[in-house]
Amino acid sequence: MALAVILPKLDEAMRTGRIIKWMKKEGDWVEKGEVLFELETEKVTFEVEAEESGILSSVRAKAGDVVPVGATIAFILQPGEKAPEVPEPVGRAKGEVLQPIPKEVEVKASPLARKIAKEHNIDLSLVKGTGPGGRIIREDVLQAVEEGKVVTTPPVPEKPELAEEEIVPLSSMREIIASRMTESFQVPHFYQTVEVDTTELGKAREQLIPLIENKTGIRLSITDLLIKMVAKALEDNPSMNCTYVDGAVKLFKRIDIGLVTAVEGGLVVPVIHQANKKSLVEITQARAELVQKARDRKLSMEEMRGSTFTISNMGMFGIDQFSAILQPPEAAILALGRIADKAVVRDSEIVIRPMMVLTLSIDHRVLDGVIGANFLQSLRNHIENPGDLLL
Amino acid sequence: MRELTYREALREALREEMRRDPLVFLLGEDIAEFGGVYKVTQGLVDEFGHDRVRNTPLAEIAIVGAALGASLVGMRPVAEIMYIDFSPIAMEQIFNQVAKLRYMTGGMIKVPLVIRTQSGGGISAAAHHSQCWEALYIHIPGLKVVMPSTPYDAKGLLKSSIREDNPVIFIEGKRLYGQTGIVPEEEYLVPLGKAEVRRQGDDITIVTYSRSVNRVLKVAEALEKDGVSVEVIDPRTLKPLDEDAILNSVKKTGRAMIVHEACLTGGFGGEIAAIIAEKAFDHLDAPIKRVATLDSPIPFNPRLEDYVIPNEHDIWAAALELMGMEAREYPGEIAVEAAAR
Repeated sequence: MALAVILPKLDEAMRTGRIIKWMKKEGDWVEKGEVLFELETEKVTFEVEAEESGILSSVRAKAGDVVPVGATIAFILQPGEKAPEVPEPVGRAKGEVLQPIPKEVEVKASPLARKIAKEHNIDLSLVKGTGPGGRIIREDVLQAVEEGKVVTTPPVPEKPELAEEEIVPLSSMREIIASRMTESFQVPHFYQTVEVDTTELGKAREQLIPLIENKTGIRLSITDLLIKMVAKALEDNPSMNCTYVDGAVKLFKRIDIGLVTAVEGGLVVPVIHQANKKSLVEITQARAELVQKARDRKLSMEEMRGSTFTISNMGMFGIDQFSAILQPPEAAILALGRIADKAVVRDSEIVIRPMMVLTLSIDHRVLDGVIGANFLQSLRNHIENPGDLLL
Repeated sequence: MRELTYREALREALREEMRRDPLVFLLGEDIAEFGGVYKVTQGLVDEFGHDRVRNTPLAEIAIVGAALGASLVGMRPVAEIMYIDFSPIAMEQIFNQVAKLRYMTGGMIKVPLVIRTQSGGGISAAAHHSQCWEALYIHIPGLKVVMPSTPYDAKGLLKSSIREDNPVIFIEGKRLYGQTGIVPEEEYLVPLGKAEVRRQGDDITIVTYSRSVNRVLKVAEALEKDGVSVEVIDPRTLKPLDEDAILNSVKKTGRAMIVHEACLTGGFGGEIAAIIAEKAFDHLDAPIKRVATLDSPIPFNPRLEDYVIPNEHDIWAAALELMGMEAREYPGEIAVEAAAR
């Protein structure tokens, strides 16, 4: 049987993948399990293997192509077999409506036609070419100018002589970040801020550092403690741990904490799964391993999949406080600022305390201020009374 | 006005320059009593004697070497290489000595040497007597390369070449010797490095030289009847090249085609195409087209010879393609050359 090679869906948010390169070419014999091609998605590169042995045929996507998830991009045939005439192009991913990827139309125009078109701001893709092979020639552009019926594109501003500008095409990661953040920003957000006293948290950390370091060789970070405490606060407030789905709220039973991690050229969000069930030692180990993998771009899809709540910590970059944009499909994200000594009032006295600002971004479609406030209150309690963790 | 053949015009140029300057002399194979294989020097020995019209052995390297030596000590020799096909025998002298001495002495030595030769097919003379090698010579810095297409230019350019203080490879067209054209009785010169617009037009620029000019002009007439206006540029001197003439024309027409009798690959057409692409890219409304002899030694079979050398139909068809017009048979007469002999 002819076996279709399908662009695999590697995670829920994946819509398209870019083929980096084919390891096998049209007509090659492939063994089951051999790598067929390398695929680049939002955040990882992935090797797609042959599901069966046979002859690779009807390769319809080349290196560099962006292909929708579920599209048939080739066939594996048995000797003597023919590829189906019209392979099903799309539609394997259940419930997903796939748009055909608009192919950039190659405009065939003479250099002179291009020059005139540029002078008159004519969009050449709208001009019909009458030259050899349908090439757009001078006359075609002049006619378009004369008829004035061609939609003109806004003039490209001339580069100011001194400005040094460079157009850098978006990386695959950047492209996805741009599209997902734009999508996310349409969700009605609101923000809640609390300032917490980290005196006790700091003390606890000082005590725990050598213990955990002895055990794992890894230095306990504030982030690790916060992951643990956020997980606990989510246990206290299960309604926070949810997402908006069409016409309903989906409540998660699991608590999987995403951690925004800066990498070269963007950011990724590795996930500490079942964070509420992990010990601090386990969280520390998991965090260290994931961050390292993220920097090496070696995260698996599994390691980036399924977070129910995300933490973004910019304290180490000296940021006092900031508001984060939701990570779809999550309903909340917590932004951590730096810990800074501040004058605060305790028992009618002004004292100096290490303070940290927490900002919670919330999807108002499913969550309200009171729920957010309760969650932040729980979190504040845990931070200011780290002994809670023992409970 | 007076008409002369291309051959007579060349002879008149030699005679005038020999009368004008006693340092000018001729040397070559069978150029004295026999008058040269294409009779260009016929009768000159009667007027100037054997000292100035010297027969040489069949040794091209010696001819060029002797001529070079003479030029270094102040003579103005005009050496004849019977066929350009024989010039490789003298290649060491031409490429490594003639072309370089002016430069290597920092200009202290002049090399006022003309090497006359002729090229091209159309006489059923097969692979060793029909080649077009101008591209070899334009590749060597230090040589000027001249290829006249009319009697008028033949005379005026040869006179300028003889007065030139740098070595000139003067390539005549063997099928042009009998062609007649207006040549004024009064003295004139045609400067080196200056192209001639043979025909004015607005739609296609055709750059062509030597005997291909005639065919292109014929086709241009036929194209005119079809509403295609062709401008024909004859560089006349391939090196130094009158780039401006070519570029100005292409900027006007937006389409460029090069026609020559030399083979396509590595031919001068590629050089012109490159110049146009580099310097007039934004003026091009169509790809640059080359029409040239097929990459083949010239066949002995006359029909095959006529086939490999671009004829009127080839030029016509290429022009229609450039214009995006439907392919059709050339409406005029197609010259039968080799096969007619």
